Amino acid sequence: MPEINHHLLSNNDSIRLRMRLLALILIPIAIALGVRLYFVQIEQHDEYLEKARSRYTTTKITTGKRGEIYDVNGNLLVSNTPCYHITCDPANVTTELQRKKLAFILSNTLKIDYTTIYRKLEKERQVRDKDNNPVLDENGKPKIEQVRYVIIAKNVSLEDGSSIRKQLSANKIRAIFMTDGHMRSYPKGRLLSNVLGFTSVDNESDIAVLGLEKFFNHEMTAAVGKEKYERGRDGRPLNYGLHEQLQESRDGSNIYLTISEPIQSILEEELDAAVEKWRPQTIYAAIADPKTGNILAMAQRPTFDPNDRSQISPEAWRTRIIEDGLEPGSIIKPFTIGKALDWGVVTPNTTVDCEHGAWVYMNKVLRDSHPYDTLTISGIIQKSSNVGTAKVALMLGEDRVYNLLRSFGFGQRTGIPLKPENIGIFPPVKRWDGLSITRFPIGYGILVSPMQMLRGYCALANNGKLPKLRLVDRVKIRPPVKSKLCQLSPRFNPLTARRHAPRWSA
Amino acid sequence: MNIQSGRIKTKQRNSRGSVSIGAKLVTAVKVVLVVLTGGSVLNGYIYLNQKISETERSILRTTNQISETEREIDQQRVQRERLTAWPHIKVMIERFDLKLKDPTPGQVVRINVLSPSAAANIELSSLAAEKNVMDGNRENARN
Repeated sequence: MPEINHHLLSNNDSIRLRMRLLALILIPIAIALGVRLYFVQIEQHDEYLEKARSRYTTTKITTGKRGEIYDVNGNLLVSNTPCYHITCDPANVTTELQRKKLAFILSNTLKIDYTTIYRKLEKERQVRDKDNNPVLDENGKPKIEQVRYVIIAKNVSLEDGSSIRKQLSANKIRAIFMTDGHMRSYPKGRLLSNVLGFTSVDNESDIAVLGLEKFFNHEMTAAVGKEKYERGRDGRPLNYGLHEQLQESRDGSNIYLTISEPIQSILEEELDAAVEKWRPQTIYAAIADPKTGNILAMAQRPTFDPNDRSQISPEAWRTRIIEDGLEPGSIIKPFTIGKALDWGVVTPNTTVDCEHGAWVYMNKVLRDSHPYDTLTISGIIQKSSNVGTAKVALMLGEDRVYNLLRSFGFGQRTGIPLKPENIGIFPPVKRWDGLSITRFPIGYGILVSPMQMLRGYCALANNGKLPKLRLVDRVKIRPPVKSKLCQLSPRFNPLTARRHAPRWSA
Repeated sequence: MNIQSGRIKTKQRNSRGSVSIGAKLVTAVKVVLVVLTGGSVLNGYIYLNQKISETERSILRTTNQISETEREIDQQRVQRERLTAWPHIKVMIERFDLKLKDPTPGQVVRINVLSPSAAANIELSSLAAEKNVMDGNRENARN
């Protein structure tokens, strides 16, 4: 036993020594590891977490749809038609036969030349500089690069897209990518096209060019959203981990006009008939409700089809009813006569000497189209007498004539949301010469826009109250677009499952 | 590492004598039970996660289908508006040579929309009489 004990003791000493040595080595290593672990896990935790996240976290830009335009009854005038944008990765075209098949499918469905498509599916191409000269490599040979992205077609209809998808699936071709898009469309064609205007596309976004599209561009433009999420290998969002909506995307506001589509259609048809009969260079018309000032229809010829702008002419481009200015002539006479009656300066039966059709005032002759000796106020309007109207204006005086024409809105903006608006020429009294009082009330020497004249007549029909012309009934702001990524459930965890389980009660 | 104390421990255990087979069996059963329970929990965990993944894939498919359908609805809406535009209807009328004519005066009925307060003051008997007149007009128009 003592021998054994001695043997054991000596062994233990040796072991202790070895263990101490080992501990001497391991403990500093463990401490160093612990310290490192502390720094990594606690001190630099955020930094490393951020680095890791940057590898598997992505930010997705989401966009809503541009706002639409409706008539007063909710008939769609401007919309967004869903479509596909088709791109290709030629590296995924495995064989020459597949390339030919793909070119055939695309050219046949999209009605594009086969050779054009076939060339686009080239896997490699020469690198060229800005001046289109080939770039050479170190050996002096043309530099070749692999093609991984080719735009095949944009704005492809859903039917064509789905047909292509079926054919590709049947032929097991996986080189084509279809992304969802929207194309601005005008379902009513030429109807109200000058007022609605149009947009063009630049780098996947709509650029407002003309009409209401331009005026309400800010309201109709969709707000861009940003979503940050952790993604898997396939790029899809993981159903656990970080998911933040940094910015909400929102569809653009919808615009509801005061225009009524049936009335607009009738007006357009009447204009077409007038153009066919009289062959004018230009013709325009508008219908308004005098009480509310709501514009019910507004049309012009020449016009254009916003869906096909290849044939658009410069004359058709302008919204003439807003932009044109004209000397109104006799149609302005009722305003002066009307106010004179309203103020009691004359009555309908007051007689005015019309000088047998020619009246000399300040050494200038003013003529009527037909000679009249004496006319009542009613007769002046019926016969549209220049002399009679000028004499009534003289009874009122310069200041009154100026104020009455201003009170009917001449020389002022109508407030119609279209640009550029012509406000006409109607000088203040201090710039009038002696003849102005006899010329302005009969429509000579001043310039008014057709919309100003329409508003003036609305006032006449509305007991003299000048209405504010309205083209837009309301602007409807749309709610934020709901994120499709937010609906993901957390991965099942038995430890937390009970906590999240639904509680049933009787 | 050869540690002597371990040897001593083994010797002490051996000195107590052999453990009965029953006790060994109980221990074995306990071990098997623990392993089985652990395995079942793990299996259940994997099974449920698989189910969740399948359901999520199915949700994704359905979401895509819904999105596609919504896009188709949008397209149909635009198409409907295109087809109901007057220029298109006019072309169709001409193409199919539809003999459409303006309505006869008897077919046109003027309806007055009253304010709620004005409508409340009207006696029901007068409304019935007016309805009879309108029905009569419609009959005449049909005849």
